[in-house]
Amino acid sequence: MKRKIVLIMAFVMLAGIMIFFVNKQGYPDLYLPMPGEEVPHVTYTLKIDTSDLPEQILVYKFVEPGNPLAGTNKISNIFGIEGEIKEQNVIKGYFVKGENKNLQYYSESGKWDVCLDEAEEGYPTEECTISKEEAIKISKNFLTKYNLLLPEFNTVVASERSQGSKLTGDYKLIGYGVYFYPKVNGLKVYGVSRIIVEVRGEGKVVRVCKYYKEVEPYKIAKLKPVRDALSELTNNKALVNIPSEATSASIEKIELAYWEDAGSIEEQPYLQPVYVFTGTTIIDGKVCTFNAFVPAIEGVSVR
Amino acid sequence: MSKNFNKEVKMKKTRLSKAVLSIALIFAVLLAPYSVSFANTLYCGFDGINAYSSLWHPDCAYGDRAGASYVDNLYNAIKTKFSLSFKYLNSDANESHLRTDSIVNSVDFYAFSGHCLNSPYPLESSMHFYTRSSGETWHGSDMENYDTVNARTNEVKFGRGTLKWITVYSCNWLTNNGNSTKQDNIFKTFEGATLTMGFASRMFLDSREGTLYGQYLVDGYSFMNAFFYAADYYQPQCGETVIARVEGYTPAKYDWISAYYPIRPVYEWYKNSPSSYSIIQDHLIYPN
Repeated sequence: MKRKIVLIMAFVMLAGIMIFFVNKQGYPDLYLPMPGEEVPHVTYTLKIDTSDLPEQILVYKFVEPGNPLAGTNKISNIFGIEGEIKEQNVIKGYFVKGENKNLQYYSESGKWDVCLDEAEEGYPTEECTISKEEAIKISKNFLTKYNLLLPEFNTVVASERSQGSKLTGDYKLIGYGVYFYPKVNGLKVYGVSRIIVEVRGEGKVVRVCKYYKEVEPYKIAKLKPVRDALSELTNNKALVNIPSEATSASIEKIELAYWEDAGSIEEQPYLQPVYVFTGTTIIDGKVCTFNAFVPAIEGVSVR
Repeated sequence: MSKNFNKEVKMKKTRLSKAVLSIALIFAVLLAPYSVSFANTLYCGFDGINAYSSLWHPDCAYGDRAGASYVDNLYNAIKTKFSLSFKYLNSDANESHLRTDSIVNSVDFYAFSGHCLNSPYPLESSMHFYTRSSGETWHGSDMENYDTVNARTNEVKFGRGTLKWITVYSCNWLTNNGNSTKQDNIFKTFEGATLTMGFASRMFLDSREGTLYGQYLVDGYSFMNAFFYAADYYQPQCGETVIARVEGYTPAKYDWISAYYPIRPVYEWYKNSPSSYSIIQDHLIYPN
């Protein structure tokens, strides 16, 4: 009798696990970081036709980065960083401290960042004299020189680095962080997929970061219906950057994109698709736009 | 002759000693504000909240976040360099800690992570807790603006004891909304402390950022760069600009855990020496 009960329980558990994985098509839930301020409960109105959105999409998987020590040596050689290689257990990586330069290599993802001039990078006193366009051009040339600019990283923005503020009357521009964002399968990649080049003063490159994981095609996955994604958004099971005062909003655009999680490949093995809702809300008579991100694979939710 | 010679030698020695002493004094005066310390034990303290909800009580309207996990990760990454004084998580985290010198100001490094509200008080930001400082371990959605769940800019004073470095891993603690009174209120929190690392915009909580920030600190990066670089790695591009910001006592801009300015004397608190304080650096992450 006891044996029968144990067998039935085991069968129920196995069936539960199978249903769980079939529902999610084998994909883990997607971690989307949430804003550290109030997220309001909003009534969303869909103002567009969504019938042209596909029912399935190609999912990509991240490629294991290979031997981390070899990776560390390779990047050290490219940038001429000579120094002791120190293993880091907390973040699982390697740190190389050279003369006025250093390299941080992340073993689990193959990401890395290189500081090329510690003094300039810290707190420069020199004012930046170049324009955003020049900073972008310098960064592109730099990445091309080292063969680091992949063609899919074709969305480029230059973000200011500054000291002081216009409000306090002591604003000083010291440089730009030039961010290169990729497209995969013709779609934008949100999350943390980027190459960053830090430019200072008259155009000196002081830091470069390879903050993306390489991907390869994996499988076609079935997408959840848009109405289900909208329902998740309404229940705040989404990353949404809507103003906290909003009570109602209209959705004016829905598109598919991918989301790269910042963690290791073990934590999230796939570059998963997300629905990106773009809309507007009116706060104090002003129109404010917002974005919201919902996991798009059927069965997958926000973790 | 010999007596006179000895006297001359003695005088020369005295003059030399005086000169050495004078030079030493000049150096001491010049270097006095800058303390290079490797031997001091540094203490840290944390308030972090994951659970803004409870099985038994009403929930906060703004939802759970990864604040407790963030401060846990941060502490784990820096524990070889800091001794833990306190780590209050979830319902043990309390806004009164920010108003109690014997708690927040008793450590060298303090970090808060959870919600931070920009809207209820027009000229202040507020670190938002689930527990009410009046004694209850929860608050409901009708209590979001209660003073007992919000540590407001104007009631928080950093310093006064040993506290030098503050990290607020949340939205908006350093947002001034383009208002100079609000900015002034932020500066007024500096009563001895030297640096606050935080955000002047909406940001997104990823507890793993605490590990990287801590690792950078241990690796010898300045507080400022450690905070900015961790943000570069973890803050997502999702349609809006994230502004990581460091502000405080401007000469402390290079400070790291082994070489730093000590806590500032009263005459150098912001209210007595405003020109010594600034938005030290902004680090913007534009969206794609």
